[in-house]
Amino acid sequence: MRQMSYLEIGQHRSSSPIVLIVEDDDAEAELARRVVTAGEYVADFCIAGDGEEALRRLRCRDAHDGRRRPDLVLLDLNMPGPSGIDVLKRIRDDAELADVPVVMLSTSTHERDVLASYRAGANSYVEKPSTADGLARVLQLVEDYWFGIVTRPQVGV
Amino acid sequence: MPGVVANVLLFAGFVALAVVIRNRASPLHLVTLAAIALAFLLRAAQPWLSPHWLPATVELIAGAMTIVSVVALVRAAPRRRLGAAPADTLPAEIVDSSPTAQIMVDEHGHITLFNRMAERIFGYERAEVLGEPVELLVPDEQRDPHRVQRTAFARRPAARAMGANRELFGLRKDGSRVPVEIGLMPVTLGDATNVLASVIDITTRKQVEQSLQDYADALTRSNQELEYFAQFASHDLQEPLRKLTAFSSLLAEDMGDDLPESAKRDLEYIIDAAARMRSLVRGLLDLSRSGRRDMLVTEVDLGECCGDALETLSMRIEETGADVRVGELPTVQGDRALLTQLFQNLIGNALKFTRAGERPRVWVSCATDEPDVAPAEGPVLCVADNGIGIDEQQLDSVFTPFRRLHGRGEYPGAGIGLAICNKVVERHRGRIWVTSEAGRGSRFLFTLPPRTDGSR
Repeated sequence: MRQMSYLEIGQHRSSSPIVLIVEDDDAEAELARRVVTAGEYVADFCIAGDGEEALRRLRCRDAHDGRRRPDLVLLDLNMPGPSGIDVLKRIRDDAELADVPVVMLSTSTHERDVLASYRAGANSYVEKPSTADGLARVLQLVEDYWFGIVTRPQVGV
Repeated sequence: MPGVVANVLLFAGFVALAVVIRNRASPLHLVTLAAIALAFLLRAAQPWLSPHWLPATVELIAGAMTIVSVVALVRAAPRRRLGAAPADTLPAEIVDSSPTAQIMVDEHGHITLFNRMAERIFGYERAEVLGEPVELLVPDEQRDPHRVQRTAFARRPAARAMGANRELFGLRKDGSRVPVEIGLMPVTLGDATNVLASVIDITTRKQVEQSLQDYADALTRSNQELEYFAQFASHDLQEPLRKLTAFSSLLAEDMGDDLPESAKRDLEYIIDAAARMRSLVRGLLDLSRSGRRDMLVTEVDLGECCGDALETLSMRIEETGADVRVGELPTVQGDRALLTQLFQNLIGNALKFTRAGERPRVWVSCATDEPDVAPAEGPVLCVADNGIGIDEQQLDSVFTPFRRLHGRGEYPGAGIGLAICNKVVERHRGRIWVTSEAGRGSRFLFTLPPRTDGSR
């Protein structure tokens, strides 16, 4: 049911920070698209449909050649194929990408999942909200925190 | 002269004793008796001995020989007591009717004694087995090793259990095997060392052990299944529920005001149902977690616990304008996280089920002189409120999971809070109960007994 492996939401501006959402589920992706489109955000959002596509986007390779590297990754934990944890580990193992901030998103708050994520190098872990409003609020808070308060590492392109 | 006679008599007496018991006594015993006899002979002969021999010297020699002999005798005695008991001193009837099977085996490995219980356990008549090799009673594959072990035992006989780490089986006449426990004892008959084996049939004990093991296995499996379910509920069950919730609201938005009233209502029912299901699933998860998680038992200051719970509820307290008072609370042994959850649920309930128009009041205290509570049960904690109270008829069922006493529209919640409180108190081996009057408020009381073994 995979519609698109990569989607940019709205027109991307040249100086805004970029948030890469990694989400394999169509419904979740659609929800995110709806929320981002309906709101006003400082950042530009794009969605990758699986781990491989996400890594290509992060490395700005192949189809993404010429694009800017995302400044923040929102990574879904439950994905088939390379799981969220697998993708996280590959990001952390890659010298170019190792310091990109990654926030895990998951429906589960099971201790095991949380612990595994932090141990694999996630910057933080957020439970996916169940309503559109909830998601809007989370995205706003994430944006305020990561682009308003936090000083991010300089990642060269 | 009388001294001489006395000594001669004693000399004769000991010699006679030695002669009488020469068959039953060991060489050491006989030498000892001879030495004592000689001592008395020397003392008798004292007057005729050369004056060069001082009387004192004779006394000294005699005394020394006596002491040495007695010491030797004493040292030899324990070996006698350690179990080389002459077989013909055991009353035969006692052996025969013993509730333990008694089987004696001679130095050639042949059965020389087979009591009634042995007949019963092995299914043989005494006459059938006497004189036969004992391996008759041993399972085929164990016969060779058994023979070897018998030889080893004969070399170093000592009273002990047989086959300490092994499962032992006897072979019955009908070919079936019987699980047994065997104790061995060396028995001296004349010069030969025989072995007396005491055999107990442990079939029943093994069955009990097996059913306990089966039960433990079933319990472990059940726990694993619970763990799996909790994991499943956590991920897979909640996921479609989230979508249901999120997209039904989005649908309502999409349709906007063009939607007919009936459709709007339908959509609201859907949204409500989805939300309720999420709350139920969460409640289930919480309940299973409170039962499943290993307890971390430490010293817990209940005052601190309660404080933590109040912090979590601070927003609700502010919203309702509630007055919460906490008294002196003791320190107990327990799991801090579970106890904090306990307070949170009880106080949370007190803040939820409030009377309209009344300022909600909650009192947390340690109750003294509570009727029906024995001092051994430990401190009694009380969370009391001035809320709506509980109907007398429903008092018993408040702690049942998912039991809600009110309509869904009136008070939110899945009906899990008190079930969790019950579980937490249960795990601390205490008890929880409530006294209440509809319209007047409730008192929830629970005990946290001291832990006697410091274990979980």
